[in-house]
Amino acid sequence: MSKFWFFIIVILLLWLLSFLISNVFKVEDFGDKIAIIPIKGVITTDGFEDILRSGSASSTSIVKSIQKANSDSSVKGMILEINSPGGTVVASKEIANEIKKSNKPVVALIREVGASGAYWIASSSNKIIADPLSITGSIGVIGSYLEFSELMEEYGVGYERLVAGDLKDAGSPFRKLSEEEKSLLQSKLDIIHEVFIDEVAENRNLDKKTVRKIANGFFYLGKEAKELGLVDELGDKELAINITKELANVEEVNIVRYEEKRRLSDILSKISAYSFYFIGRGIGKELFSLRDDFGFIV
Amino acid sequence: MRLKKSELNKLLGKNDVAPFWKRVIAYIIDILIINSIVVLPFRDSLNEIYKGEMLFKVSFNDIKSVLLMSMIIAILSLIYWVVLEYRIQQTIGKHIMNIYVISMTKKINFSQIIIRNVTKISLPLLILDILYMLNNKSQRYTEKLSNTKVIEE
Repeated sequence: MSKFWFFIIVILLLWLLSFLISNVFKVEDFGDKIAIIPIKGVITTDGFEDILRSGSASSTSIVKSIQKANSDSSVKGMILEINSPGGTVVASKEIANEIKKSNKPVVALIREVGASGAYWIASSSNKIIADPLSITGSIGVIGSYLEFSELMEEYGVGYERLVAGDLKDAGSPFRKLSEEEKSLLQSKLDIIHEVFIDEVAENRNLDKKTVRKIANGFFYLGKEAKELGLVDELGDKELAINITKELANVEEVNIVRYEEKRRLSDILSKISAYSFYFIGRGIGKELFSLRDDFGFIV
Repeated sequence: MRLKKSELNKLLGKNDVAPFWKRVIAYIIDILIINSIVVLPFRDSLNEIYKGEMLFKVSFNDIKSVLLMSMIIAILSLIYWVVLEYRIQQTIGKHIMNIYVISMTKKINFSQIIIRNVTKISLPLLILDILYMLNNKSQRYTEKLSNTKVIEE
């Protein structure tokens, strides 16, 4: 091989190697950053089981993202990109508490929906930006469920009640609630509702009476919510970024998304787990799983 | 027929040490090539970190990335010198300036090439290495250690 071709080959190989390695370092990973943390779908503690995509928001992974952004000194502020109708009480509270602990400015951006538990989370941030036509508010608690005892009766299906502890199967979809059970469950909902109202009043610096008046569980459009003091500004992502920059006192920033990445191995292991689950699942398991899913939603 | 001095030296088995200026120009040419093929792909990331800011304002995470990138660039640059000098005893700069590396003992080996080029990964080290030439005009310190020298063709 002539010297000329040897030079060309070395140059090309080094350039290729350098180019490939340099791609590992993404430009947006450097300098001051604003972390965008998406909260999409129904909020639960561990998210719903879904093979290819996460159809719900897991408070465990969102809390991790907030902690990661907090411990990264190059992250100057956070934007919670909310598109969620709410979720379970504990999951929403976990995220709201983590936001309150943050030592960096947090701005909530409500896009299409930021209602109920998602609004609870938004209220714990420093500022709330919402689209004028977004759905927000919905400060209430729901524990409703389908009860099919009459349908079962019609099909000759019986419910053999075997409990130790009279109220153990309160809320079972296979029998009607007694008055005592109904008032007990209602009292739990009222307690959660009260905590929700307290939290919103404290977070938004609003009078508790005012919040109670608007906390009828119904939603408000973004522009109505602004008039009621439930959101600070009407706008989009650009406005949210500008407000975060202002609060963080920075001018030039890179925008980085902080969300749990799903690896191929996770997806594959979930697919195999699903196959075995469906093979082994019987009708009885399916019926009992309905009972297991019972819970209060904000 | 009159022979050139270099041709006569070759016949007599004597070698002319490459003049310092030729070596400097060869080094500049090599550095320009390394900058274009090795450093350039990292330029965007490095620019993003500094953005005209002082080093003390750069975050700890970014400093770690800068150190890692510097190490990668240094290793890739070293590969350029080592591969070319080991296989053909010349880099592109040396080829243009008609100079090349020889071993003063036997056939040049890989460890000799590594030793003579190791200071090129850091400019301060290279300057110290070159300062040795104040005493010994023909060799850098690492060239003396590796028993190599650069001669004219």
